This record gives sequence, C-alpha cells and structure tokens, in this order.
Amino acid sequence: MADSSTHHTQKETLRELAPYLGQMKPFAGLLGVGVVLNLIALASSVGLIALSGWFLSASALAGLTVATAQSFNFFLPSAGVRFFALARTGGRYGERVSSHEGTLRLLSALRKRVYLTIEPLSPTALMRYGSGDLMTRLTADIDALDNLYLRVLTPSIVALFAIIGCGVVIGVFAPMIGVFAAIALLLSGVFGPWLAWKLGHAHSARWHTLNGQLRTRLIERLASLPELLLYGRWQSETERLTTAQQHRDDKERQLARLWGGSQLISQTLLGLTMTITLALAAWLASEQRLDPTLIALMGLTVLASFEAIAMLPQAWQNLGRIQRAAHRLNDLSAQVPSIVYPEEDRAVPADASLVINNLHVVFDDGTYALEDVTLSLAAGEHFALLGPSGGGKTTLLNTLVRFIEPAQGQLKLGGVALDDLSEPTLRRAFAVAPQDVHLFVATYRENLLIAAPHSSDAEMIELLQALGLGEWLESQPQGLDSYPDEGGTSLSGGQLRRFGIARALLSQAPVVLLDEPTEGLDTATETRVLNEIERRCKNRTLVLITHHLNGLGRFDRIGILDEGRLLEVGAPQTLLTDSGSRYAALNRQIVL
Amino acid sequence: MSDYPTSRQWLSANARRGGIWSHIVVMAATASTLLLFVQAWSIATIAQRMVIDSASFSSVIVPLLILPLAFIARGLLAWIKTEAGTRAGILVRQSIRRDLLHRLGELGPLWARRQHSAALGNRVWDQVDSLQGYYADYRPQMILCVSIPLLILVAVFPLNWAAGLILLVTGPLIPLNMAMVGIGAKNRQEAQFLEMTRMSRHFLDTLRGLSTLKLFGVSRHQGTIIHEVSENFRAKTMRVLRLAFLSSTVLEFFSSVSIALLAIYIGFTYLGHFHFGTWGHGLDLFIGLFILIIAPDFYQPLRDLGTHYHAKAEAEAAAEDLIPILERDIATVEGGSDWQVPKKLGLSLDNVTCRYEGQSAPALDRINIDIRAGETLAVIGPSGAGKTTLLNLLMGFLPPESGSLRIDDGTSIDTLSSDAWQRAIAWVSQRPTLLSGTLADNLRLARPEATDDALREALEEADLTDWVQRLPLGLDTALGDGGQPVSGGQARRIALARAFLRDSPLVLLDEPTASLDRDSETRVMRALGRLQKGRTVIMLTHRLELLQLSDRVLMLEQGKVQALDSLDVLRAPGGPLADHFLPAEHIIHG
Repeated sequence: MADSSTHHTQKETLRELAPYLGQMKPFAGLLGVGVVLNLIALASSVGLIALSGWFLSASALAGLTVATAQSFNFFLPSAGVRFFALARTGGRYGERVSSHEGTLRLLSALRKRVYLTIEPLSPTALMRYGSGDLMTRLTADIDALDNLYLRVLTPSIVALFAIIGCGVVIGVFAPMIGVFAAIALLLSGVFGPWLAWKLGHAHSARWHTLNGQLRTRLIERLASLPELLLYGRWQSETERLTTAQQHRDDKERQLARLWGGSQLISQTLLGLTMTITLALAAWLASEQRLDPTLIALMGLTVLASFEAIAMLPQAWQNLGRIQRAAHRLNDLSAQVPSIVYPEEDRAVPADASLVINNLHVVFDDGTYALEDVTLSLAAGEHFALLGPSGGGKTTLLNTLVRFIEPAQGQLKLGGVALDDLSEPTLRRAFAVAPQDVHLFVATYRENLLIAAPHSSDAEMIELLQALGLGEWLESQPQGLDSYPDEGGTSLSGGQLRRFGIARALLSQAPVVLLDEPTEGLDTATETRVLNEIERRCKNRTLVLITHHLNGLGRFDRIGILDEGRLLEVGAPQTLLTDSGSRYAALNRQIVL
Repeated sequence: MSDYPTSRQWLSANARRGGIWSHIVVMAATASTLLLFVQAWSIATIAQRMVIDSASFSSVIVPLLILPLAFIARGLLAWIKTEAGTRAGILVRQSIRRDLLHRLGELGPLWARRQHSAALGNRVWDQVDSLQGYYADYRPQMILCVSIPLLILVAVFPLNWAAGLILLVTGPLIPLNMAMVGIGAKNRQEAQFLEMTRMSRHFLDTLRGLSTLKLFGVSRHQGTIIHEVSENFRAKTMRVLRLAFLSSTVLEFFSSVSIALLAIYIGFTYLGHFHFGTWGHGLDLFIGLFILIIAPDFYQPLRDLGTHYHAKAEAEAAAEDLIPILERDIATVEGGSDWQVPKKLGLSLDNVTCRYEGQSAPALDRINIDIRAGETLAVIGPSGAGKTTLLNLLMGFLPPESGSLRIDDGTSIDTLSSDAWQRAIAWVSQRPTLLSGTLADNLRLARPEATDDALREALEEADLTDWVQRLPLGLDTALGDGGQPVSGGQARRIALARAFLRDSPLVLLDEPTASLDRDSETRVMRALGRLQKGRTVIMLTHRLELLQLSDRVLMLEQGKVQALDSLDVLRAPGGPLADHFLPAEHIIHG
C-alpha cells in the first residue's frame, strides 16, 4: 500500500485529505485563533530583534554627539521593545493553549468518524484484510491525521505570513529589497524541503514496505520460536533478520542525508538572501538613498523570519505521512465489504428454529469454505457441531450472525430469512461466545453488562460460580469492579473462554451459539460447564462447536463438518452404533 | 526485579553503542555556534562601517563575502548533525535489537509463550525503534544545553560584562532553567503522552472488540462513546497542559526580556545614560549588534530540548519494557559440541522433578522412566498431568529442578548445551508452523544441507508426493503468508517430512492426528508407521489407532507415573485402562 502511494499526484493527495480537512470546520474558530496568536508571537519575535537592531544603530549614531544624544527619543523604541517582549511571551502561551484545545477536539471528532466508517464493515473480512496488526496501524494512522492541522497547516500559514510580513517591513523603506527578500525567502524555505520530499518519497515508501515486511516476518518467526530453536536455526534467522533490517536502516540513512542536504540548500539560499539584502541596503545607504540605521533592521528581519520558514521541512515530511494514513483509511473502507441490513424488519420470526439450506460460502481464493450445507434445527434443539479444524465450523457460525455473506443458499430464523431482519433484531436473536473472547479495558461487570445491561450482580456472580469461576472471582482484588490486566494475564485461556460463555448465557437471546467453549479445560470442569450450559439453554436453541467428545451424549443431535461439507447428522447414540460412522471412529479413544 | 537498572541508567549505558556518531552530533552543533559568531561579526561589521564610520561600500565587501560562506558552513554542519544523529540512533537500535533476539533464543519458547507473540514482536520491533529520537536528538541536545550557552558567555563577557551578566541572570544557572524546562516539558509531554496513549488504547480496544460489540448489538452506539471518552480525556489533558505551558512560557519570557534588556542597556549606553559594563574600552555599534545577534541562541538549545522531550518519554517507556528481557539472569550450559549424536538412543529419567516458574506444584514429580532405544512410547493422561512438560523437558526447553536425565551411553543431558542435545531430536508439534518461504526452505529447516532428492524422498515418506506434484512450482512453491494455502493435515505431514529429513534417533510427537480430517488422519498414521522404524518415538495421544502403534504406554497423572506397560496389559480386565475406551455405552452420559 505504501508503494502505491508513490504514484499519487498532488491532486489525489489533496482529494484524499479533503474529508479530514472538512472535519476541521466546526473548530475553525478555535484553530483560527491559534493561527492568529501564533502570528502575533512571530511578529513580536521579528519585531523585537529587528527593532532592537534599529534602536542600537540609531542610538549609536545619535550618541556620536551630545546634542543628538539628548534629543534622541528613546521612549518609543524602548517601549516598543518591551511591548514586543511581552507580546511574544503572551502570544506563544495563548497559541499553545488554543491550538492544543482545537487539535484535541478535532481528534475526538476524527476518531468517531473513522470508527463509524469501519463499524459497518464485515468483521471477519476486516480481520482477514489486515491479518491482525491492522488495528494497531489504524490507531497510528489517526494519530498521524491529527498532525494535519498542528504540524502542516499552521506552520505553512504562519510561514506564508512571515514571508509577506518580512517583505512588507523591509518594503516600507526600500520596496525593491522588500520584494527581493520575500521572493528569496520563499525560495529558500520551500525549495530545499520540496526537493528532499520529492526525492525522499521513493525512499520513504520503500522504508515503509521494508518495515512492514520485516515486522510481519519477525512476528512469524517469533511464533515459530520452538521449532527454530529445536532445529538450531534461531541464530541464523536472527542474523538474516539483522541483515534485512540493515536494508531498511539504509533507507533511513538516505532519508536523513536528503534532509541534511535540504538543510544545506536552505541555509545556502538564506545566506545568499541575507547577504544580498544587506549588500543592497549598504549600497543604497552609501548612495544616500537609505537611512543607514535601517541596514541592521533589514538583515535581522530576514534572519528572524526564517525561524518560521524553518518549520516548513517538517510540514512537508508530515504531509507525506498523513497522506499515507489517509490513503490507507480510504482504501480500507473501499476494499472491505460492508454488510447491509434493512432499516426495519420485513417479517417477524415465529420461533427460534433455524433452517440452513444449500449453503455455500466461498473463500477469497475461490475455494469453498462451506459447500452445500443443509440443516434444520427445531426451536429448543441442542446441536453439537464437530469436525477437524479448518473444516468450516466457525465459518458456519459467522454466516449465521451475518459476519460473512454466503455465496449461495438460504438461512432462516423462525421462518424468516436472516437478511429480512434489521440489525438490532438479528443481534437480539443470537447470544454468541466466539473462540477469541475479547475483554474490554473496563471492569468485569461492564464486560458482562455488554450482553445484558440489566443483569444484577447476584445473577452475574451466580453464573460465574456455576461455570467454575467462583474462586477466580474471589481472588480479584475488587471482585466485579476489578479491571482485567492489559497483558491478558488475569485470566487463563480456559477462564477467558468461560467468561465468554457467561457473557453469552447472561443474554436472553433465544438462539445460543458457542464456539469451542470447553477448549483448554480438564474433563471435570468441562462436564461442569456443559451441565450449566445445558441447564441455562433449556427451551433455547443451542449450537455448540467442539472437538471434544466428552459429554456429547446429552445433545439432541450431532453433526460432523469436514472440508466444508456436513458429513453426517444424527442423534449421538444412533451414530455410535453405526461403526462405519465418523463419529464412532472419532470415539475410539481413551477418556481419562 | 530491584536489581535491574532504572530506565534512565539503562538508556545512558547504552549510548556508547552509538559509537563516534553521537560525539559528532555535539561537535557539529558546537562548531555551528562558532560560525554563528562569524555571521554576527559580518552583520555587525557591516552596520558599524556603514552607520558609524560612514565608510564606502567597498569597505564591507569582505564581510559580505564571508557572510554567505558562514551560512553554507552552518548548513553543512546541520547536514552532518542530522546524519550523524540518525547513524548513532541506528547503531544503538541495531545493536540492542541483536542482543534482544539473541536473548529471546536463550530465554526459550516456554518464556516466549507466556508473552503474546504480537506483544513480543512489538517490543523487539516498535519499542526498539522508538529509542531513535532519544539517541539521535535528545541526548546530544542535553549536552548542547550546556556547551552552547557556555560558549556564548565566553564570547560575550570579554566584550561587555554587563551584557554577560544580563544573560547569566536571565538564564539563571542553566541547570536550574533546564530542570524547569524539564519539569514543564515533562508534565506536559507526560500528560499528553499518557492521554494520547490512553485514547489510542481505548480506540484500539474498541476496534479489537468490534465483533464482540457487534454480536451484542451495541457497536453503533460505541461511536458516541468514543467521542465522549475522547472529550473527557481532552478536558483532563487541557487542565494539565494549561499549567504545564506556563513553565515553557517562563523560558520564553526570560529570553524575550533579556533581549529587550540588552537592547535597552546597549542603546542607553550609546546615548550616554549608562557608563558601566564596558571594561573601560567603550562600547561601539559592532559590539552591541554582535551581542544582540548571538543572544537568542543562548536560549535556543533549551527550547529545542523541550521539543525533543517526547522522544525521552517514549524511550523511557520502551526501556521499561526492554530491561526485564535484556537484564534477566539466565543460566546457559556451554559445551558438549563434540558430542556425537548416536544412531540409536535410549533415555533414563531418574527421580526427575520439573516446575514452572512461579508455580508451587511441580509439573513432573520425581518420575523414574527408562525409555528403550528404538521403542515407541505413547504418553497419555488428563490435561495438566505433565505430558507437555515431559516433552519440554526432553527438548531441553525446561531444565529439571532435581533428578537427572541420562542418555544410555551414560552422558547426562545437563552437561550438554541445548544446541548439542537438540541435534538428536525431531519434533512434530500439534500446530506445525510454516515459515513464509518456499516448500524447500520449510523442509530444510530440519536439515539445511539436504539435497533436492533428499527433500523429495522425505516428501514421499510423508505421503506428500501427489500433493507436491500438483503444485505449480513443486519444491519452489511459496508457502506461508500470501503463498499456497496449506491445510492442517498437509502442515502436519510437512512436519513429518522434516522429521524424516532430520533423521534423528529421537522423535517427539504431540497429538499427531488431532483435529485432522479422515483422509489426512489415515495418511499421517501410515507415515508414522514408517517413521517409527529404528527410532525412539515418544508421542502424546489419546487415539486408539495411534496407541496401537506403540510398544508401551506411559500413564501420567498429576505429574506422577501411574502406569507404564504395553497397551494390551493396560487394557486387560482389571488394568488401569480396562474401561476407559469410549464406545462403551455408559460413558456417553458421563
């Protein structure tokens, strides 16, 4: 993605940034105040040094004779110098406060906007699209976008005004020098950084590509650490990573070289501007066409204005980063399919029965994840779905909750097609415990209340105890008010799954879908959890995915999903007595 | 924990990894200040000659020629500073990252598994990268905060002590000012950094939990919550910032006021109102302007330090995460590199106890087993019985707490480095990993020097030949991220092919047929039959078909050996496994 952004023209950059610029509108007042105060601070800064320069020259000249020294009006310049000193301080403070206030407000709005862009997208497709680190990148991208104002727009506007201001101040006394200084400053501020940006673009895109590749590779290698260590290959992998990293760092060095070069160009142009301004002023003074006390003023004005222009390279650099971030965000919403729900229910489900008819789901690569799956579950039926990993069990579950759109086939709840239901109705119909249970950084209570906002503490505690989490809860310093540890160590894998089950069981939805709820549990706990699930799901339709065989006799029916096809469906006892069945074959094992 | 250096000490100690470059940064910036004097000299000379001396234009040609050269030279120094800073940062990062990766290998997979692999990746990659700003900018800037003002004082004092005094007093005691800027910038940056991180985390948390929020029908509403949380953070941050900005404003104030004071003092001296500070040699326009031009740079290093403060905050946060990995004590065994892997290998565990870090109950409790050379030993037991611990022990990932593990030639394993011992082992895990790379690369993991023919032979043994023949590029087909999709069964057989290639006397298998489809299960089983010939095989399994491949079955429970005998004996009426096989009707309801 970083690569493609290199081919972007300026126009496209601006178009991609347009929505984010639009976000600024409500805060234009605040941000505008920031710019104005920034300008005041800058003007005072230039004024302070330039006026001081003139004051020195003029008073030195006046001081040559006693008469001129005594008639010299020092009140005005010295008051001006003090005024600028205070205005500079006050302006800087006000500018910092208002621009931060504006930026933080903008950031709040920006986050909401980005979230609302992503929210309708298919969660499974989203995960696949970014293979995990997408979320981290998204967050970083938003942080980059908030720089658009603070680090790109403000410095650019301020620099522009500084250039104009410098031209005007000098131009009042010598129009020719004023015009020259403004144009020359513009060139010295823009040319070097622009050149570096232009040349650096390819390097920085390459850096991003390399960095992304290396990062992915590192995480993959870390996941294979046991194998790599056992086969004695970790050392060589480390060396290869280190070498590859040097290529990335070479790009970083090249970028630094370019920026260094651009500083040289800027300084050279500034030096020439300064010198020519001073030379012109000195020449005019020697021709008696300019008051010589203004020479220092002109030189110092150019020098002080450059302080504002010196911020431009950073702005150019940031613009590239922001543009990439905007590009990625726009790209994401364009590429990941969103799932559309009707605003209103088109019909009302009669009961909690589920019908899956001739269902086909296709992977991105065109192969079938589910192929011709047909299954009807009566309301209140308990169904266990078994099968090898990658067989399509989780895909089936994701299709039922409309995280995945089927290529073909019908899904019905209580006789109504799922896509005739509005999203709130659909969500109220299903209670789901996925394999990866996400704990929010909020109290355990809040984490449970997501499922059933009106549950009482007593209900939650009772349920957690029934699932064998009673001891764990007691070990938490503040019970339900405790926060999960961010590293995810406050719950073991098995405990986390049970917490997910508790969440699903608290919800009163008529259909319960549980994905491998007993993974990582010992047999005794597994039995206990299954008992509780059975008890709580009385009169609710239950679909439970598992590859554990323990305690499956309690289910009304069992299905085996293998390579996307439903191999067999039947009551467990019936399947067991058929020695040719896959279920019977799987059961030829030890239970301890 | 308390033995670890603080993040500040650690950051300082690692600065030397940047070599000469960090010194070059300081030297370039200091030299740049000397050139500032040249610039000030030129400008002041021009003013002096034109305003006071009423000299001709030709008298200012020399300073007019020197001035641009000084600018160019400062540009060059800025270039050098940028590049040297970047190089210093890169060197430090590369060196720390190398140590970190090496360290991960020493800490081993048991430690690594306790960390999340993405979190670990984040440490090795992003956290190390976030040290750049500290070494490239912040650290050199700290030195410059002392050296540049000193240099300016040295230049100003001989010219005029009163002006020098103004600088000294308004920038009173540079360290104090530095501390003040530090505290201000620290409060500000920390507040901002903290809030930004918190906001990012909240946002990240919401995105990660998006599917959960969706499942419970509250995802739409979350947009408003995100806004609320952000606004909340904003209000809090701004309260801190309004105060924190004050301290940098103090610096701004001092620098403005001192310039104003200098201008007024010098001007009034010219006008004859003041008569002090000149060491008796008078004050001309040249000296006055010279001092005025260099005065702003007296405060500039301090102002710059404030802007680099976030780099320091980031680096300290990263250091806190990195120190526990890098400074952790670990014992490693060197040696045994001359140990020859025998053709056949038996093992005896003598009173072995193993315990995981931070756990009170031992995972293996004084077990005694003889594993005969060439036998296939199946290991069964409920979860938590110690099966995986046994594998970790045999693989050298977990050293025994007490007892000894000996090879049948009498060598004790703890005299061998883990590298040496691991040469004797092949391993098929439950979830074999495929690295992004070609199929050949993935197989050569087990034997780097294997020829293509050897690879094909191993694939044949692992029953993968027909699959490989269907692949477009055969052995050169790319696997892993973005490559040829590989099913669970195929991955398992690739791991088996590695084991054939490895041709080691000891093979460890973890549930080799778990959650495989029927066809894959049959193929894996056939391959296993071939693999066990002439090798010592230890496999964890519950499947009857696999148990039937074994010579003996080891039953573990709560870290202790419960039984060790042939399957037939264990299954015989009255034996410990007599009624533990599933198709018996009565278990279904259990």
